Amino acid sequence: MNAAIIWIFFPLLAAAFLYILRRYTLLVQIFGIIIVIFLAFLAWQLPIGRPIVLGPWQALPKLLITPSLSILGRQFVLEDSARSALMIIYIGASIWFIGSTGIKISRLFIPLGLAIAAILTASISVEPFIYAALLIEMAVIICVPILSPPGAPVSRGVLRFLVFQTIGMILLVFSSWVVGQVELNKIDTHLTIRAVTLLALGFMMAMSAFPFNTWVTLVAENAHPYEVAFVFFTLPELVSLFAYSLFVRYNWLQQTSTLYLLFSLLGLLMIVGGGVLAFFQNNLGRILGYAVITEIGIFIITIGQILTGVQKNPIGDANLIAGVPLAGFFFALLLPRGFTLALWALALTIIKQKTKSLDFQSVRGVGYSLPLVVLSLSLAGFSLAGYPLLAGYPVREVLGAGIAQQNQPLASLTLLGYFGLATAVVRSISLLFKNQEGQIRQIAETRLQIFLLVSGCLILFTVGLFPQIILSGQRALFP
Amino acid sequence: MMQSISFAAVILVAITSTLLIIITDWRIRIGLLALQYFGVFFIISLSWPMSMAMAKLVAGWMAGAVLGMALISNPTIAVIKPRILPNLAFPSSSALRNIRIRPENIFYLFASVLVGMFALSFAPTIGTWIPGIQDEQIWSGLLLLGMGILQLGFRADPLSCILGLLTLLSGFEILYAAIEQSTLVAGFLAAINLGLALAGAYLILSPQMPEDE
Repeated sequence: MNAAIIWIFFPLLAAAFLYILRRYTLLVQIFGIIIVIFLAFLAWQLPIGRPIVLGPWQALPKLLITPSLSILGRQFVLEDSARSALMIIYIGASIWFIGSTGIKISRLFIPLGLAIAAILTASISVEPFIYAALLIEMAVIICVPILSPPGAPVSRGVLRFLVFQTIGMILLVFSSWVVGQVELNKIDTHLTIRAVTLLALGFMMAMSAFPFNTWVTLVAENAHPYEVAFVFFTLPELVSLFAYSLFVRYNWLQQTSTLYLLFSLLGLLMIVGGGVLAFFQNNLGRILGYAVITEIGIFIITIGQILTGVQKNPIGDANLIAGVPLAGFFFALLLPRGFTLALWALALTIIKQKTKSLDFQSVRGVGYSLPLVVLSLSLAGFSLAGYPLLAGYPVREVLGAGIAQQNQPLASLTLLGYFGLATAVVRSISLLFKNQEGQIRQIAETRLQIFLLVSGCLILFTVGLFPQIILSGQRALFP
Repeated sequence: MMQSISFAAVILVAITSTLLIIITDWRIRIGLLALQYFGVFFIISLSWPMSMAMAKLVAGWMAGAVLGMALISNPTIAVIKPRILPNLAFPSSSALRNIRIRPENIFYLFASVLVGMFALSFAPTIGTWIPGIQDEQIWSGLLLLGMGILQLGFRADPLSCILGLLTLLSGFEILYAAIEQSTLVAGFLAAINLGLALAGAYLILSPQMPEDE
């Protein structure tokens, strides 16, 4: 048995199988959920590269999951240490798949989502890892049917998405090669500048950083909110994993002050810009888009903080973040973010299915018939805005303290972004509960939707109140 | 011999990539794309074994075929309607009508010449960056990268976007072939070419698909 076969090729095969069965929506959803939960369970339970005794049957030959698989002269390696990342990938997928049961969703969502999870796994396992950029591009191509649903005109946002991501992939692949060259010849400053410039441009495009983020709001306005939010969650996750691997692998990158400055300023610009612009939007989908831009800013600034943490770590001037296991801190961002975005998108989808549009004019007063939806939307929005007691708060607090340790004005400005986002959410709530004549005051959520929304809200509170559940789990995974 | 063939291939990709921007008839554009891949194949074969370079050609032609099939199913969406000036109209065949001299075509041609000049002037710098790369590879790689970006900038319909991306990717593949000779990379890049074509076919057809498909 091989790890790559279990966590890459089996889900890819299952995705193809589910695509064939796509007309049986319920069956596909059930199979999809079972498969991702099963894969997450296997990642939790099965050690890679060590013999496994099959239950009480000592006499049976021991099972061994080999970590590497050779394909066309290159390796797909999933070491035992990668199990945590595997769990995060498949738990993340299961959150989105379970949430999709409460709403009308494209038949392609589960098969394509499963394929994206498999590609995500492949991207963290391929050796040399620079090929991960090519896998990211494959995931991007798979996202196209998700972002442009059948029967709707092709939005400019989807074309921009494809263009930016493809150019980003080209830059990342090329810059990874140049970065490798710098490793061999560290004296050549021109080579270093070239590598850093190409790398920064590539990441900016692939992460949809400013000014390459215009597609986010265009797509968020028109497409299915839940499917779009899945892409918003997955792609930055994929790219940031690639970035993380790159920075961990090449020490000189961690010590490049230009990159730290660029990441900090870019992240700040996105947090402030996303938050403030969210306030001025008249469409709930676009507010989600700007919230995602803020989130991408947080990812970028986290990478900057990780760089600083490494720089300052050896002497007494230790950065707060340097005290946290880097991988753990990085991964601790992902799951709460997945919960929050999924809940927000679920709420938006339920509203859109009722009103057909997310414009402020169309959603006015919807809160009276969908109170739980509005509650979930508000909590998710406040969580992304970093409100205490909610899932987004603990990591943002550590991050904010880390930034403040380095630069207090910078930390204050990030608060401005969070404030803008929170104000946009308050504005949405006031509109959703705007009293209108002839307003029907009857709860319109289905039982399944109520169950999913309440569970989502409880999870947000649980993670916010007891962050040690996730953080201690992370600490165990990343000692 | 190989030198002169590769030089001819550079000229071929220069002509095809320029015409891809100028011409609006999708049938001719798909044909030009196929021809462009033929040139790319010759240039890549300077670095890669013939069998691997052939895979690139086959993948490119398949991408063209996928786009062509989608357009045959729904030709209306991909045709860019030319602004017809009656006094300048050619009376001859429909193909010629699409390459008549229109003001924007002169602009496209001029922009293409600028990209060509950029490729020629920037080539020596790239030569110092990538050891062992040949001049023909740099010229054609930079030219295709530039023409791809030009096409992406000028046109915003799904077909032009995909053709621009495929052109851009061809340019990158030519340059990257000089660096990397892995079969897995060749396979990934072929899959990306085909995937882009499939995405393009989907984008061309999706507005006409039923919503619950």
